[in-house]
Amino acid sequence: MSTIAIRSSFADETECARAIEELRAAGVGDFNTFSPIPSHKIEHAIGRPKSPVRWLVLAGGIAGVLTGLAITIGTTYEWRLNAGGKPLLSWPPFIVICFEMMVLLGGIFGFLGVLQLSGVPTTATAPGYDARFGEDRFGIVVRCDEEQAAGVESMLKESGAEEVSRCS
Amino acid sequence: MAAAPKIPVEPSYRDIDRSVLRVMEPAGLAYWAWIGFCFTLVAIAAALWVRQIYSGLGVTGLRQPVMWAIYITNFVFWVGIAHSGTLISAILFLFRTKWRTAVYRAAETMTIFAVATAGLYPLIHLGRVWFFYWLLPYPNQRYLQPDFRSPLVWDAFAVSTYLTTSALFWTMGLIPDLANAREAAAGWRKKFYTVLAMGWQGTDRQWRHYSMAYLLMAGLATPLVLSVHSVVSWDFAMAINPGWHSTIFAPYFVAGAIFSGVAMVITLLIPMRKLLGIEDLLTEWHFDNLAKVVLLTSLVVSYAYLTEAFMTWYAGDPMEQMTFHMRYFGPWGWMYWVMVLCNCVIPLLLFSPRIRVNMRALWIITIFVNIGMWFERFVIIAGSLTANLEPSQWAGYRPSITEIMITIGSFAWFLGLFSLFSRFLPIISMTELKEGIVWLRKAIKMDRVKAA
Amino acid sequence: MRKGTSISRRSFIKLAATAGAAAAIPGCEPAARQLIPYVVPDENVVPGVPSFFATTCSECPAGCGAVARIREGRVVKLEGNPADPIGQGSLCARGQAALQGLYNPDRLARPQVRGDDGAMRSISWEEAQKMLGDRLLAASKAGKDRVAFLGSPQGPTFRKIALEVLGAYSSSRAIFYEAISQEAARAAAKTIFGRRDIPSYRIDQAEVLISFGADFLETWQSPVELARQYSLFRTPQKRRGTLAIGRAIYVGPRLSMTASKCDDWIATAPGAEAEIAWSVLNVMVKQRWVSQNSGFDLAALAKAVANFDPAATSARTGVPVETITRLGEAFGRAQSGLAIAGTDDSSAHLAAMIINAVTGNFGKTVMFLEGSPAEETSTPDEVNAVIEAMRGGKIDALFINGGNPVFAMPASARVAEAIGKVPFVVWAGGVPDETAAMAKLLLPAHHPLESWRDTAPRAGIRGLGQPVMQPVFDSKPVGDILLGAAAGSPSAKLPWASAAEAVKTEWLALAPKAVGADPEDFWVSVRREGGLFEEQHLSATSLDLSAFKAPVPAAAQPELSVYAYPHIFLYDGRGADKPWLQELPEPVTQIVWDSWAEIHPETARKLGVAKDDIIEIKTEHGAIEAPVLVESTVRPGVIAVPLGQGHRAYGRYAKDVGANAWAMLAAGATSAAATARATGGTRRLVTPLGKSDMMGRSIVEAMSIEQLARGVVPESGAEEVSGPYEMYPPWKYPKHKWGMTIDVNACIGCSACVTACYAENNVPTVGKDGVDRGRIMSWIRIERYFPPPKEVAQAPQLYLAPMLCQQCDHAPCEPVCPVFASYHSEEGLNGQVYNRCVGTRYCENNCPYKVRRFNWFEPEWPTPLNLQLNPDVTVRGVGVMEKCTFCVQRIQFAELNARTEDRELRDGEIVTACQQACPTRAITFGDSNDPGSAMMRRREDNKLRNYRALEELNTQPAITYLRDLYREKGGA
Repeated sequence: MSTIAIRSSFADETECARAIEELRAAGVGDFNTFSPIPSHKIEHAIGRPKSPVRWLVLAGGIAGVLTGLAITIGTTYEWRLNAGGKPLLSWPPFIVICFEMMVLLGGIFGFLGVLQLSGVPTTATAPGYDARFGEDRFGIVVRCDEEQAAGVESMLKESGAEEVSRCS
Repeated sequence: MAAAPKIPVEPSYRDIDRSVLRVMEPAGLAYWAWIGFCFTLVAIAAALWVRQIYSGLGVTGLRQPVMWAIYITNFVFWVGIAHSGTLISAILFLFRTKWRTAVYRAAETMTIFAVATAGLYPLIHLGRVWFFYWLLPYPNQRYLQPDFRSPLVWDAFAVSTYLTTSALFWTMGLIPDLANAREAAAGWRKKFYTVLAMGWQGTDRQWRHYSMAYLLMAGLATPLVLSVHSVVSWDFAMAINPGWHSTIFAPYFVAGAIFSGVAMVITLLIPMRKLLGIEDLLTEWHFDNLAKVVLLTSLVVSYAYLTEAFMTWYAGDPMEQMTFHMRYFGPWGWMYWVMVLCNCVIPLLLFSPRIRVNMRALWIITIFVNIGMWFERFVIIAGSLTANLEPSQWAGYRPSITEIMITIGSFAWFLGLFSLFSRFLPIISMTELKEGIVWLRKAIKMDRVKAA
Repeated sequence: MRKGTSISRRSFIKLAATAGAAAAIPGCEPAARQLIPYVVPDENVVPGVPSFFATTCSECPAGCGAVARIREGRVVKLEGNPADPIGQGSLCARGQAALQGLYNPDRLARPQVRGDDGAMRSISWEEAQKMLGDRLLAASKAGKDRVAFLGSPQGPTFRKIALEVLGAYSSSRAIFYEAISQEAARAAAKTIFGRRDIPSYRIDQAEVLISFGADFLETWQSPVELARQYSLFRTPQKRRGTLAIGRAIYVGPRLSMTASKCDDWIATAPGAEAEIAWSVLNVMVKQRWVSQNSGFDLAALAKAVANFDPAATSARTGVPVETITRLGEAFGRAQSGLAIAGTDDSSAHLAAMIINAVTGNFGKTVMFLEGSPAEETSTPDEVNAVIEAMRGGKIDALFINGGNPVFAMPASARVAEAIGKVPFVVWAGGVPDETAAMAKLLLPAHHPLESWRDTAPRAGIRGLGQPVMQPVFDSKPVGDILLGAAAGSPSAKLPWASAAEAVKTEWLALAPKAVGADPEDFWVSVRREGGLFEEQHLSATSLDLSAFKAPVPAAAQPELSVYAYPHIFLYDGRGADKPWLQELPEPVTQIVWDSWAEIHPETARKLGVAKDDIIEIKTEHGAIEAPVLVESTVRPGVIAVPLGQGHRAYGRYAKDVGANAWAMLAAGATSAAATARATGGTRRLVTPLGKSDMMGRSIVEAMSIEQLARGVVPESGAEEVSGPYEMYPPWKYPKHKWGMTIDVNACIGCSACVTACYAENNVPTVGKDGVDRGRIMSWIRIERYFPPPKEVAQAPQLYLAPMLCQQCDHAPCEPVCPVFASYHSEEGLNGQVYNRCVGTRYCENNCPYKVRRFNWFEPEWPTPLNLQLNPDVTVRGVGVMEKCTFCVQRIQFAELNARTEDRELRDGEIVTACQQACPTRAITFGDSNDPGSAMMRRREDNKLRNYRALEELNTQPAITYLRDLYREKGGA
C-alpha cells in the first residue's frame, strides 16, 4: 500500500492552525505547513521546541569575545611597544575590540545557523508546495496511507480548507 | 511605469504583494538615465581619486594644521546616516513598533549603502592607501601589528562589523520576499530571484528558526548601533585638541546620527513613494511617526550643543574657551549658526501635526537637517583644528576641487546604489506588512478619510 | 631596535647610489658616469664613514672657518670650525646654505659664448681660453689700462693673482666690490685715528651696548662671532653684588631681529642715528660721565657737540629728551660700554667711536689690532674711476667674477650702462646672474668649496680654504682661468702656474722660519686647522683730532623715507639662489620668498593702504613695487625694505622674486627720501605664521632679570601644574633618556638651527606656493610672538624661541597612530617609522606643538641638489609623516662608536645638528638619566628659569626651556 500527499490551502491563519491541532489530535503526525508569514498561531499549534539557533548565536558571541582578547593581548605582547606611556594592557580599548568581535561572530553564526537549520539554500521543492502559499494562502500538506486519506480530507474540509487536493 | 492602481481600503495579502512587486517590473528610460547620471559622477570622482593617489594628498586643500577636513566630515556624515536603518529595523523591532514594517526595508537598505559610502573615506583620506591593510591584524614576519589603543583601529573594527552585521540582517529579511518575487517574476528575472531566494518556501520549519534568529540579531544589532557612532566620536574625543577632547561626544554623536539618519530616510522615502507609486503603503501615519523621531533627536542634539557650551564655560580652560569662541564668532562662525538654524530651529516646526504630515514641508525640513548635520561635523572636525593649541600654527582651510568632486561623487554613489536596489529588490517588506496588515489597513483608512 | 635596522638598510641603498655619484663627479664624460665599485678604495673614502675637511666660509666678509662633512666624495654638510676664533665652531644660515650654491642646479655647466644674435652657444674650454687670451691681449695692445677686472674680494692671494694678471696686460684697473661696505666706518676711523682699519669688538666685555643701526646679530660685520659675544653679554652674572645682564639699546628705524633682542628700541628716522649719538655724547660730556684721561679736550668736545643738546635733538628727531639722557646716563655710568654704528653715514660711526674713546673703552670693549690685513675692498673712488673709464670707452675688455654689480650696485652708479660700453665682457662664476646677462663670454668657475683660496678677515687670523670635493660641473678655478689667459701674454712673467700653487706659495711664506722646521709640516697643519690663528696684539691708538670737524645737525627729516637693510638670509642678494634661505621665514616678519614694504599702521593710514596692497616706492634714483606689511615694528614715516630680492636672473629660485631695493639707492647709502603710492594691485605676502598672539599660553615664557635676582618665579599665564601627573606606572628608560635644554634668553632667532636641520635631515623645500598652502616642511621653526599690548611694558620686545618635536613621554601623537609608526623608543625618543606610516595624519592633529610635517607630494631635489642629501637619513616619500628625531642618526653613530671602542657613551659626544649650528649655544643635548650631563646641569643651574612648553597638558616633554630674560621698564 502506498502513501499519498494531500494538499489543502486555507485563506485564514486561524483555521489553518485549528486544522493542524485536529490533525495532531487525530494522530496524523506526518504533515508539513507553508505560510506567507511567520505565524505564531501555526507554530504554537505544531508545538515544536524553541529553535536551537539561540545557542549558535551565543557560541558565536563567546567566540567573538575570545578572539578579541586573543588579538589584542596577543599582538601587544608579540612586540611590546611603548606608545604615549600607556600601559601595555590598556583594557578600555581592548573591550571595544572584544565587543565588536562578539557582535560580528554572533551575527555570522546566527545567519549561517538559520540557513543550516532551515535547510536553505536548496534546489528541491517540498512536496505539495504551491506559489500561492508564498502570497496569501496557508497550506498544509499531509502524507498518509490510502485508507486514512478520506478521513484526513474531510477533517481538513471541516476545519475550513478552501480546497483539498491529492498530489503525488 | 503605469500609474499605480489604487489599492483597496481593506488590502488583502495579494494586494500588498501586487503593489510591491509591481515596483520591480522592468524600468523605463528615465530611470536608466538617472542611474547613468549618478555613475558618471562616480566615475569622475574615481578618476580624481586615482590622480590623488598618484600625485599625493597635496591635490586636496588640506594643510598645516587642518589635517582632516571634508573627507573625514563625509565619513562621519555617512556613518551617521547609516544609523537610522538599524535603529528602525532592530530597535523598533524589539519595541514591536507598528509603523516600522512599511519603512524598515528602505531604511535598512539606506544603511547598507551609507556604510558602504562611509567606508570609502578612511581609504580616500589615507596618505598611502596602498598600505590600508596595515590597520588590520594579520600575521607577518615583521611582528608589526596595529595599535589597538588607536581609535582608528576601533573604527576599522566597528565599521566593518557594522557593515557585515547589518548586511546579514538585511539579507535575512529579504529572503521570504525574494521567494515571492521568484514566484511572480518571469524570464531571467525568475532565475535571478530563484538564486537569491535560496529555495525558501516558508515551511513551518524554516519560519521557526527564522523568527528566532531575526529576534536575536535584532538584539545584537541594537547595542552595535550605539557602539559604532560612539567609536566614531572617540576618534575626536580621545584627542587632546580643544573642541574635540570631550566626554559627551558618544551620546551626542549617536543622537546626531539618528537625527540625520531618520531625516535622510524621510528625504528618500517622500520622492520614492511617489516615483514608485507606493503612496498607499507609505501612509501619513508612517511619516508622522518618523517626523516625531526627527523632532525628538533634534531636541537631544540641541541640548548637546548647549551642554558643550556650558561645559566649556564651566571648566574654565582658556584654550578650550578660545577654540569655542572661534567656533561661534570666528571666521567660520557662520557655519556654526547655519548648523544651529538647521538642526535646532527649523525642526521645531515638526511640533505642528499638520507639518508632520505635509510631505512637501517635511521633505524640505529634512533636507535642512541633512545640511545642518554635515556642517556640524565639519565645524567640529576642521573648525577645531584651525584653532589649535599652538597659535603660531593657526590657519584656515579651503577645499580643493578634488575634495568637492569626490564628495559629490559619494552622494551620487549612494543615490545610484539605492535607486538600483529600489527597482530590483522588494523595497518594502511584504512579509512584515502582511503580519501587521491590521495596522496598515487602519493607516490607509485614515488617509482615505482625509482625502475624501 | 628594528627601526635601527630599517634605517641602515636605507643608508645602504643610498650608499650604493652615492658611490656611483662620487665616482661620477670627477669626470664629465658620459663614460665616467657609471657605477664604479671601490675595487681599490681611496683611503679618504670609506663607505658609510664621513671624513671632515677644514675650510673657510666665503658667503660674507666675516670669514668664519668651516668644516665640511664628506660622505663618499660629496660634501653633505658645512659646520663651523671649532679651531677658528671667529665662528668658534658655528656657522650662520647663510654659511651653511653655501652647499646649495655648490650644488645649485642652475650653475653654468660649460663655457658659453654669446652670438651676435644674443643666443648662447656652448664651446670647449680650449676655445674659451683662447678667445679670452686673444681678446685680453688685443685690449692690452691697444694701450695701457684697457683691461679691467671687476669682482668680489676673494682673499689676499686671489687679489695678488688678479693684479698680477692685470699687470701682464699692462693694466691696474681692478675693482674688488662689496655691496655692503665698511666705508663709513673706515672713513670715521681715518678721521680721528688716522687709520682705516676696522677695530674688533668685545661685546662680552661691556656692561652697556648701544647700537646705532648696526644689526650685529644679523648682517653687520661678523654676526656669528658677535652673536656669541652677545649671548655671554646677556648671560646673568653677579655685577656689584646683584645678578645682572648686559644692557643693550638699539637706535634705528626698524625693530630688526637684533633690535628685538635688545632692552630698548629707540625708533629714529634713517639717518637720525648720528644725531642721537652726538646728543648722547653731549649729555655724557656735560654730565662729566666720561673718563678724564681719554686724551680728549673735553671743553672742545663739549663745544663741538653743543648743537646736540638733548632738547634740540629731541625737537629734530622726535626722540624724547628723557630717552636721550637715559642713554647717556646708562652708558656713562657703566664701568664699561660699547657703542657701535652700522649706518651708511660716517658721522654716526665717528660719534660711536668718540663715545667709546671718551669713556676710555678703547682697548677694553673695542680695539684696533696690530697688523690688520690690507683692505680688500676697493674704495668708492677706485670703483667710480673704473666705472667712469668704462663709460668713457677706455676699457676694451672686462673680466667679471662675482659681486654681481648690475644687480647689487646702487642705481646711482648706472653700472649696467657703463658695462654696456665695454666691447668684450667676460663673466666667470656659478649661477649666471644679471651681470652675466651682459657678458659675451661666460665661464663656469669653481665654487669656493671646490677651489683653493684664503681669507684674512682680521689681524692674526688667516683662513685657508681648501677644495673639499671634486668639481660638480666642468668648471675651473677663476685664478686658473686668469693665469691660463695671461700665460699667453708675451709680457707675462707669472710667479705661479695655478691658483693652487699661488695659495701654497703664499702660505709657505708664512711658515715659521725656525731652523729645521719643515715647511711641509706647516702646510699640513694649516690645512688640518683650516688656517693660521695667531695671538692678536692690541695696537696703540692715538687720537688725532686735527681732521675732526664739529658735526652739524642733519637737515630736517623727509616726510617719508625708505630704509633698505640687508636681508638676514639673502644679505646683499647673493643668498637668493638658495631655496633654504628663500624658505627661511625672516625672523621678525616671518615672510618667505618675497620682499615687502614694512610700514607703521600710522603710515599705512596716511597712504591709505592695507596689508598686501602693492605700493610703488619712488626715490630720486629709481622706483620699486612691493606689497605692504603693516606692523609697528618700524618707525612711522619710514618704509623698510629688505635688500637681496628682485633678481631678474640668478637661477630658478631667485628669478622674479620680489623687488630689488638697490635700484632706488644712491651709492653708499641705505636710505633715501621717498614717495609712495598705492598701485591698486595686491600680492599676498606668504608666511607660515598663524597668530602672533600667544594668548597667554606657556609656549615662549619670559621673566625679568629683577625677578631672577629676587629669586621669584613668575606665575605663567597658564594654569598652575603640580608636577608630572602619572595615571599609570611610568615607563622605565634604563639606559639613556635623551633630553634637551633650550635657553630662550640665548636664542636670537637667527635660524642657523633651522638651516642645519634642513641640511642634516634632508628636509625638502616646497616653494612659495607650497608655504602659502601650509605645506612648509621645516622640522624646527622659530616661534615669533608679539607681547600683548597690555604687557609690552613688562615683556621682551619679541618672543623668539625654537620649536621642535618635544619628544614627550606622554606623547599625544603616539597612541593615536593605528600602526605604531609613531612610538616611543627605549631611549625616550619619540620615534617616527617612515616606512610604516600610512598617512592618517592623526598624529599631527593630536600634536599640541604642531611640529609634525606631512609629505603632501613626492619631495624634489633637482640634480645636482640631490647630491647634498645626507646618506644617513631616509628621504621620505609622498604620503608620509615626518618630524624631528633628535638627530637619531647622530645618536646611533655615537652609540656605535662607543660600542666598537667598548666604552660608555661620553656626555657631549652626541651633538644634534641644531645644537651644533647655534652661534649662541642656546641648545644643549644630553642624557636625562645622567644628572652630571651638561644638559641636566644647565637645567639645575637655572632652576628658576625652567619651564616646559604647554606644560599643563602633562605631555611631559623631554625638552626644558629656560625663560627669556628682559629688563623691567623703568629699571636701571
